[in-house]
Amino acid sequence: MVALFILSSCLKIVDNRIKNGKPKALINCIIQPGKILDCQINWSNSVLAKEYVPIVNARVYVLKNNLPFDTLIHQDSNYYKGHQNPIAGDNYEIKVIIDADTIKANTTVPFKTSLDSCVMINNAYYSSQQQLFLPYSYIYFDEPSAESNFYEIFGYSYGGAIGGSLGGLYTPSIYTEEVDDKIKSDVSLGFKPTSVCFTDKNINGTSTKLFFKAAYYPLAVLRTISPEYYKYRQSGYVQNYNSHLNNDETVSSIDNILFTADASSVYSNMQGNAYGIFAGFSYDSITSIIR
Amino acid sequence: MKRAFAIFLFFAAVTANSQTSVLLKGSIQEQKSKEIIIDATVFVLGTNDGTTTDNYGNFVITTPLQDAYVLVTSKLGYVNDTTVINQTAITENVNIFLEPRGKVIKNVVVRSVVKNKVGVSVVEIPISKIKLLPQLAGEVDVLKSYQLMPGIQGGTEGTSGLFVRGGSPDQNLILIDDVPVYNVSHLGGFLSILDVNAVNKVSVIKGGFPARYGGRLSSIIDIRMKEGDAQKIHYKYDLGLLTSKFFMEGPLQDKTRFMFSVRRFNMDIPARLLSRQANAGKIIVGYSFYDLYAKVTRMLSTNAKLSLFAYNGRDNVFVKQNEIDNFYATETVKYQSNITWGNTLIGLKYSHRLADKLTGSATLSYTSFNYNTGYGGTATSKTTKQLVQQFKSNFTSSIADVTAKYDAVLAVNNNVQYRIGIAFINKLANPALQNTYFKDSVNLIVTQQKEPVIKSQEITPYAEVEQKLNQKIKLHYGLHLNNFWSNQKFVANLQPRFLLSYVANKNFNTNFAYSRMVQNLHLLSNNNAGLPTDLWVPATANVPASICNQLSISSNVSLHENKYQLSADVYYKRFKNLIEFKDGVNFANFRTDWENKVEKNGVGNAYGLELLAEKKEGRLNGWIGYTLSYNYRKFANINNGQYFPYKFDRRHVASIVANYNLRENIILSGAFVFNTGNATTLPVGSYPSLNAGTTYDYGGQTLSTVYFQEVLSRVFIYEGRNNARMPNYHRLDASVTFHKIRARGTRDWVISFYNMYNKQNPYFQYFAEDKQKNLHLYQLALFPIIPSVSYNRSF
Repeated sequence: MVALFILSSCLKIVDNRIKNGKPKALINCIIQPGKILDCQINWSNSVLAKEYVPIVNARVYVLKNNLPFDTLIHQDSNYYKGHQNPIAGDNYEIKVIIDADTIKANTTVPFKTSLDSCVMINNAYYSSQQQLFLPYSYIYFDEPSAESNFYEIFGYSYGGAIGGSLGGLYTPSIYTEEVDDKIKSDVSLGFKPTSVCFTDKNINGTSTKLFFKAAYYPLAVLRTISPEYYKYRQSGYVQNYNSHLNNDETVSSIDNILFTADASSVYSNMQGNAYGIFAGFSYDSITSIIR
Repeated sequence: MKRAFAIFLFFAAVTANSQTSVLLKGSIQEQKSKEIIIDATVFVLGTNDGTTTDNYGNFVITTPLQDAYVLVTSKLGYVNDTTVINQTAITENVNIFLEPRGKVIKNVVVRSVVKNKVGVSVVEIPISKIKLLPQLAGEVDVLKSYQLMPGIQGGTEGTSGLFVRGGSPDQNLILIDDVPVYNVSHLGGFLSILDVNAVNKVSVIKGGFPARYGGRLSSIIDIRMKEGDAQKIHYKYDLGLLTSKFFMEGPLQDKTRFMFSVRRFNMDIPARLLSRQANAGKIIVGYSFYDLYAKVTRMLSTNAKLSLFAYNGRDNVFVKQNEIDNFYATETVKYQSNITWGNTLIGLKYSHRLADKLTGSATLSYTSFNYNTGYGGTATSKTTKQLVQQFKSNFTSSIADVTAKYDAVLAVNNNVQYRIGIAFINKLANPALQNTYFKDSVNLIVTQQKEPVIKSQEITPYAEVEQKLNQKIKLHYGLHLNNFWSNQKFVANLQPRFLLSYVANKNFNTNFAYSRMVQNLHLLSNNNAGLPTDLWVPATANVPASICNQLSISSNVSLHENKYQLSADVYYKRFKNLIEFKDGVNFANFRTDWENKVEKNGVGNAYGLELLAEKKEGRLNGWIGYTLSYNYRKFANINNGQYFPYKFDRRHVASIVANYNLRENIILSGAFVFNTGNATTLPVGSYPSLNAGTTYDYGGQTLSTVYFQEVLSRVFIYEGRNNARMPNYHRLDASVTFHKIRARGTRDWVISFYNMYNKQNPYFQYFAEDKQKNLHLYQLALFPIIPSVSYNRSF
């Protein structure tokens, strides 16, 4: 019956229903050890905008452990760059002055957690029922027990690697339905993101072996991320999933049609008249062993 | 508790003092069918003594001793009756038979909404009136008809869920012959499970709840099924666009009568044919449902009656893939999946008169709802014909109650009536059970995953008193005590109920009511469309029962000998312990670990004004209803802890319903509805997402990515949950009924038009990119003008 009505239904564009608010500054800044500080600063735009106006006259300062650390200078477009390399374990504060507004945010760069190994089981193949079977991978690492950690895992693959010629490098989707039970509660959305963020609540202080399923991984990356980064990423995926715009439209469509998905905001830790994220991560990467 | 019952007995003793009075008792039935008539008014002419019939059609009146008594009986839709009783006959039961008015459409005087009883916030639309209302695809839906009344709204267009005074559909206690129903919706909520042919009476209580009811926050929907004609077997069939129905009733023996009704969805056959044709016979898609009602009633004596009621309904959606070759053409593959869901209800009721002034009823009932989804398939070798691979998976969730209860009514005299009762409820919720099976030449894998079963028990005694202090003031008060055990946790909730009525004269009354309601069940759903995937779970220590306190005031005015009626209600409701899904919880994942996926301890405020103006009689009759309402929710982790509008917060809701008797055998009906648009959440801006790429050295290559931006290219800025409104909703429906009396029985042709002027009302809105990758907000309208024809034949 639903199909019958949908066939006779009417779809129209109602862009005029959107009411745009006043633009605010957008500051995105990710810091990692060994990489010179930089950030992007734009004005937010209308909902349907394709481009964003850069802010070129902002004054951007970074403090480390409450002491002046660096000044970021406008380069071009929305891009600002500093001179210093951050260090893991330190607390940083960004202070951005745009006209009369002052915007601040804090984060601590976490220490990296070293990967012991990444083992990939099987290669991709088609079953007799034309079903594609992807390899399973295991990553091994010792999870430190001293603090609560947040992680992100992903990998790089060659395009067309499954039974075909090598193509360009890309980050393949992870099948979140089949990730390890120990991190499943953190990745419960029903689509396939290119990376998975998770907490150490089920693995804290253990020699950890995590299972996940994705396409062929020549290189696996484990990031130890700050809580702000974790919140930003998780809320970003939720928003994307709920707003019908993610890569796996079949799942998204069901939730939208069934009204099971409410719109939600993406996390921002900017204090002041701005949006955006100031966060940090450290990472380790390792070449996969194929069995 | 003991003290409360002692007080109750004391009042019973001191008020049972009418030595010079007599007791008139009897029953009221429909003249031909002997179907009982509920809520008929009976009074003794020349006195102020009167009452209304109970749910079994019985009445008891205490009146001063006289030589003779004239009983005047009235009920909307029936011709008034006057019965004289001599003093010699007063010890016997008086059986009064009323002749239906609207059954034959001749000089039609069908009254519309019942509200002549003193009380607040009770809505009843006679079934004869409901049958005339124009409906979606011509399918008469009892529950949807109530969406035309003030204070009762529909949800998403076309669905049958009722949102009563700011509540949600899960906050309605739906009782069919005293048996609660968990899911009243067929697919997508477009139709309810109620078959209009089998229903005798439906009343919706919005506020001022009597103490005998409990378990839900916002309304009681009390549905009474027909008992069947005691004189002659009748049957009826209806052929409509969506469903076909068959109804039968009649006597089995002298003292036994039955009713049987079945309804079936019609569109499954064309759906199967179309899908088979579209896929060259390889894939078949289908959907079907049925409703089956049966009731048998036996009079054991003049003072005792036994009835057995049963309902079973089931929906089934399936996809079947017939034999096809695999990729290498070495195997034959078959595959099928299906989703089924439905309710089963059984109720056994024994009603008896213990003494002249004391009646009682014992009920034993069972209700269950279950949802099942499964898929499976086989692969067979084309050469050896051996089974190569077999797999199947099955998911089930269910909830079931067994209830035993006893209710007693003591009508001390015309001024005082006591009612006490107690119910024992044993509830078993099975949120999720997943079985999988895989077998091939090497492996045999059998797995089972299961959410813990939740057991709960309730014991709910109540006591209520209806007391007429004088000719102008009436009180109706009581206590409902809910004792609830779940997983070794015990919670008791005392729920006071109070109603004060001031009857200034026969044309004007005003009422004040207070109710406290507690709901020990939560429905895990954030669509409110009545989907089978919605999951009922009992309250737990972590997710406690929801509570609602309601205050309401109503005034009713009758004009022109009750031909016109005006009423106004105001209400205020305060909700506590509401739940809402956390952000990101979705269709695929909400069943597991559900306690951690809901926001808890939510509060809500709902308040409003309801106006109703009715013309009850005449060639042109109908009503105009209007509701002004406000409905807000607050959760600590939603909307920054600030109040936000509930999704179905609609500021203005109006309806105009009219029936016009064009000729003796032709009735025109129309219904216009207007709603302020639903609350919805729209972004107010956007900004680019984070480029969290990193460069890596990999065997001399530099790997660089902007991978997160590939997934999330932009971030939407939201300034609050439900910050925007969908466009206003309005629609006109119309129907014409051609009625004819045939040699045997009657026949009706009903032609109806849903959405007469083809308004493109919004069903939902979403963002998507067009082919040029430009983002747009799209709006889908689901229901254009829908003409339909149905044919009804009664014998």
